[in-house]
Amino acid sequence: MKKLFLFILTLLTPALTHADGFFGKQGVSYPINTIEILEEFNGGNNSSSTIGDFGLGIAASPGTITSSHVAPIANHIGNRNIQISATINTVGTLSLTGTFGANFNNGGFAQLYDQTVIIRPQTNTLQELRVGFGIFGTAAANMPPSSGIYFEQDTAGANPTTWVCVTRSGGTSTATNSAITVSTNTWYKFRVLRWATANVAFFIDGVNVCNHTTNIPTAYGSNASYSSSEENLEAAVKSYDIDLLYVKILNQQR
Amino acid sequence: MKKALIILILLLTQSVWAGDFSGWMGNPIPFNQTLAIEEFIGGSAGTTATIGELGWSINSGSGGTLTVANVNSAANHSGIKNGSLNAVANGIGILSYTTLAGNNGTQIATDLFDMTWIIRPQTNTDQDLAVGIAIWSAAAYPPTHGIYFEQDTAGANPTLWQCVTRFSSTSTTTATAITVATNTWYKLRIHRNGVNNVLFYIDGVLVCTHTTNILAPTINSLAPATLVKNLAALAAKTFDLDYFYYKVYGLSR
Repeated sequence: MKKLFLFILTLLTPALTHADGFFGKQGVSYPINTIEILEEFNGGNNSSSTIGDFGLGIAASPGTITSSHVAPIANHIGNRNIQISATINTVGTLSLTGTFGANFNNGGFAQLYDQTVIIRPQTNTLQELRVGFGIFGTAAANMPPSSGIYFEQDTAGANPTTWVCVTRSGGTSTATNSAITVSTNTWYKFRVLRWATANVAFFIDGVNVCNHTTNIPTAYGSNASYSSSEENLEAAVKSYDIDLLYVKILNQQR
Repeated sequence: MKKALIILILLLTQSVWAGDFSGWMGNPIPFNQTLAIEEFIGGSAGTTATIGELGWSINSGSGGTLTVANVNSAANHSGIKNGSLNAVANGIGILSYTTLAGNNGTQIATDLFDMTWIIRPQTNTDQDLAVGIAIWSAAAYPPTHGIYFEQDTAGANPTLWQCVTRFSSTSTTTATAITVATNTWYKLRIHRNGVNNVLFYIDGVLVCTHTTNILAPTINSLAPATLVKNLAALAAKTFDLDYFYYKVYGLSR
């Protein structure tokens, strides 16, 4: 038992000795094989590629999309409102890639990742609203995207008033009703955890609401990004507020 | 020994998960704080909303024009931006983390925060120089509400850093014994560790503790910034910024 204890202690030691002023112990590199981005929507401005600290991008068609500041409130400081114009079937996308249309990263769909988005819908009728990772374009043909992993409200779908968990690959979806109602002016903390290539866990406000093992995309394509995308199904503006976007991507071989 | 082994295995397990996903199913990352660090290395120096890594904004008023430029790194200070306000009397320039408008605050009045700036004044005469958080305006100084360090060459302690808490245009001001010298780096830290308690540090030394005139509710559009006001038209007023750290904590989300 004592030998086993010492053996485990030896294994554990490198993980506990990073307090030497560098991120890694001598001979142990800092793990740059992980990407971690936390967007609080404080800095920047509201035009595309300047939104938030990281310069997020917006794009829409055939109508327009706008970003504006939202006053901080208790527990939600640094917020943006994302609104699409009243042209019916306008698709508007907010994307972590500042220049919309660029890949987030090669191998995007094959990566294990952990994503959290805190949003507050301002509308919940006659719209499609998606939050997650996928090939989110700016045309109605991109709704739903051909591939992606995301939360969805589709008021024209089978569960028009609730959040639905979706994994979608090559135009085929696995969709699970979370049973959580989409209410206006209410904050939701969405978390998508792709913890294995074929395993995705969905959480809303810390509660595991869905677990998917099918139709999880593995190939990547153009326009893949960590995004939120909205389409109006009537001639009225649709909008939501966003407070936070967090993404952690594992296993970058670099 | 057996119990110790079990504890060790538990510790190891946590370490493995923390290294992968910073949390695990049912244990999401606690987003109970916001954290911003600006090294003033990236971004575009001269264009508002793109300055530095976080997209800082330039705000000018009262006849002044603030310009921001890159400065060569110095030993121990990698990545420096210079803010320069032109030689117009009463001109004001503000370099702010967020664009200054009614809804653009980075915290509400009662939020606790810990903020550090590393700044190198390049001028120290005929100026107001303020570093901290407030509802800033390029049209007037001082702000109506704020928590900040200040040099006011027209004030009671014209050559010293002062600590200021200010609410509804009433200030609590404490002079430190630290002189504002040009071309000298200062590490200015403001830690609001209680709703009615603010600690001010210069270069790691606690210089002031304020418990009055601290931001109260309904003041919800506060932004971190460095402000300079030119009190004479004789010369430009400038400062260098090397670093900004800003944590707002105690959130529930």
